[in-house]
Amino acid sequence: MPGATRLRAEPVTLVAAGAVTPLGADLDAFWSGLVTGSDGISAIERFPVADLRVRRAGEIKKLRPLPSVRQPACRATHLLLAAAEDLLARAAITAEPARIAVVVGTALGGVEQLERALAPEGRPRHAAAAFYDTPTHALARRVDARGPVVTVSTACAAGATALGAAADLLRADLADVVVAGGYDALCRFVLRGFDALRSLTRDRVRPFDRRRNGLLLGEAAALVLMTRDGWSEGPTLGRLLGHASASDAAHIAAPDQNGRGLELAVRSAIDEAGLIPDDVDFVSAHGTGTPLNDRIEADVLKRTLGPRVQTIPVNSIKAGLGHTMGAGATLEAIMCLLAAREGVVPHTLGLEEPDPACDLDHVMGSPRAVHPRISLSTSLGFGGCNAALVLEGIEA
Amino acid sequence: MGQRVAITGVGVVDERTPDVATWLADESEARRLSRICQLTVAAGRRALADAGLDAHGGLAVMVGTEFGDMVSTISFVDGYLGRGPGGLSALLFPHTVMNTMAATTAIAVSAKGLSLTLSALTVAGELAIARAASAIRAGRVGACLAGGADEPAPLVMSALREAGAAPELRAAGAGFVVLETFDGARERGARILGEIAGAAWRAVPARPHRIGSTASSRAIAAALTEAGASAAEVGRVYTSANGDGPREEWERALVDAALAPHRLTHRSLSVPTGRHSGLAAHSVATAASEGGDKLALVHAVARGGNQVAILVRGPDGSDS
Repeated sequence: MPGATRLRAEPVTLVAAGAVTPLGADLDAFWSGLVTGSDGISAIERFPVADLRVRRAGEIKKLRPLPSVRQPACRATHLLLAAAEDLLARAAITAEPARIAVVVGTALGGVEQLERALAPEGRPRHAAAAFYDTPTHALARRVDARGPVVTVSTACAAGATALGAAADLLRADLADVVVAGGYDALCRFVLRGFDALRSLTRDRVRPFDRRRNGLLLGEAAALVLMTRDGWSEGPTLGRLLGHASASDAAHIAAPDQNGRGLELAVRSAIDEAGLIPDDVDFVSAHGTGTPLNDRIEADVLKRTLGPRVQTIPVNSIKAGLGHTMGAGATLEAIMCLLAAREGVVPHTLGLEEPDPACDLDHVMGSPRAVHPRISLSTSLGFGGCNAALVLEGIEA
Repeated sequence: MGQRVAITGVGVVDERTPDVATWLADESEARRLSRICQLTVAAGRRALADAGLDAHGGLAVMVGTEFGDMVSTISFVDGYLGRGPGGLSALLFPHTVMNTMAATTAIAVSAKGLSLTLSALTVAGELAIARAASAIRAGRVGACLAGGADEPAPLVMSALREAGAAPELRAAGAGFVVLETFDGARERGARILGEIAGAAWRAVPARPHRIGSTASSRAIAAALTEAGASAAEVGRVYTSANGDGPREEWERALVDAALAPHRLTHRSLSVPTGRHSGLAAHSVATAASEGGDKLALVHAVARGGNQVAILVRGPDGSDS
């Protein structure tokens, strides 16, 4: 098949970020929780769990009321709008509404509302909030976006795909500013689903540890404000230099045993960034703590980054947050940029006895003092979706 | 300007298509796939066969959908609400994730490039095609199956009615066009059905599930700019009309204002069969096949304000 000839891959700027996570109500709480090794995993309190096999997750215990709007009944919408409030408190959006775009990634949208609609006392109108793009439009109204408004999904890689799609909008001059990111909410539906797949652990999450045996879920929303390079004045978080996605085309719920899709995504993202593997200073791994995922990721990183991989710090932040699905990759991208700014890479919670099959330079035990200018962030999702981001941080 | 975008194949199926099963590999594949995924896989294979394209390698898949596989999602919820943990289906859960149709199609045709799902009411199929054209133009993708799929569930229809939507003709179906770089298509000797000359998507101010009060369309203007064309060069219009009267009136006003002073006959391919996101591929392919020396506008606008405009040139105008 004739391939594409890429025209250009101009970097785009990530001006600011906002988040709501199990570690706290804003970006500062997220970052301080990561570097202090806080564990956001707790017993689930918001809905009944007595009939669930696994009753712990990265649940957000307190959500701040949203200012000036009716509080949304849909948890997913509330999470997304809470992240937007945090973002707007850190950066003003000054573009014309027609030049503001919104790109949001999610795996399951507002699916909890569907359960409400189907319950004995439920009403069909609850299902309207279960549409995948309903929370996105609530966000678009909040930021007064009248440019492209897009909901994307590559399952649990959606938070990375959204940033990539946002970069494409900016490069194509379809917007001056994009509010981009991802979200997903915890609910009985998603816990039931992952439980049915036997993906959840009753132990703690242990990415890359030889004892790892599964993941725990979490909920979060994370957003970044993106512009073309040079469009925004003042301090910024960093830049997205390259992004790529590729499909395994192998299995609906399991990654390709050889990680070929992930390898293609990593190589393509580094290529688009105009870099070589030796330029990578840090890897934020998907690192779910499932036996297969972590082994595949380690193999792919060894193949793509070469022998130098043994000296490149690698972490996973999912043990302290849970797997936040659509939000995960956006949170990890933000973490990469904050690590560069603050000069410290958070450590991988739960990793105590590294699996020899995953012999990487893991950041374990405590954070590591290092300024990773160039970061690689990897993500995988149901349906064989793989995504990679190459980010450039700015030292404070 | 970027790469030119050729249309080289089309495949559209719905519940009335007699030979859907013949496009599935075997009974095992049919059993594994939900109905909407069966339709999507069949449409994808049909489009690739029409294009004479072997999917091996970096083929991308972009699927637009209003509701995803909501039928499987509802079945999954019904299972555990009705029967508790014993009602859980590990087979069903992956189909409740929004990207299941793109994923199953990518697996079925060995498409190893970007696999992306876009969700939006009414305009999802057109949005996926516009986004795919943009990705090809930018050099990000060499070839793409682009289109959409939907299977309306009664609960979803009730929810839309309660949210204020008017009655609409809807159907279950899926459809794709094969888009490629013009040079790539020529290089492999493909039959070129037409060209996406310009595509754009914007938001028109409107409240959720409501129509807007403005007839000012930026998407059509942006698509014309990308095509390097004027409104006078548009000779045919295909709209997203499907029985929602107020939305149709709004769409007419948006299109007429954008193309003024020219007033063209509007045609919708949704009306006889019911609309699903795959019909966008049908509209784009029909716009190309009906040729002529003028551009065709494939347009869609949703309650809530999402608007997509795709300008299609027939094969006669694409040869140069």
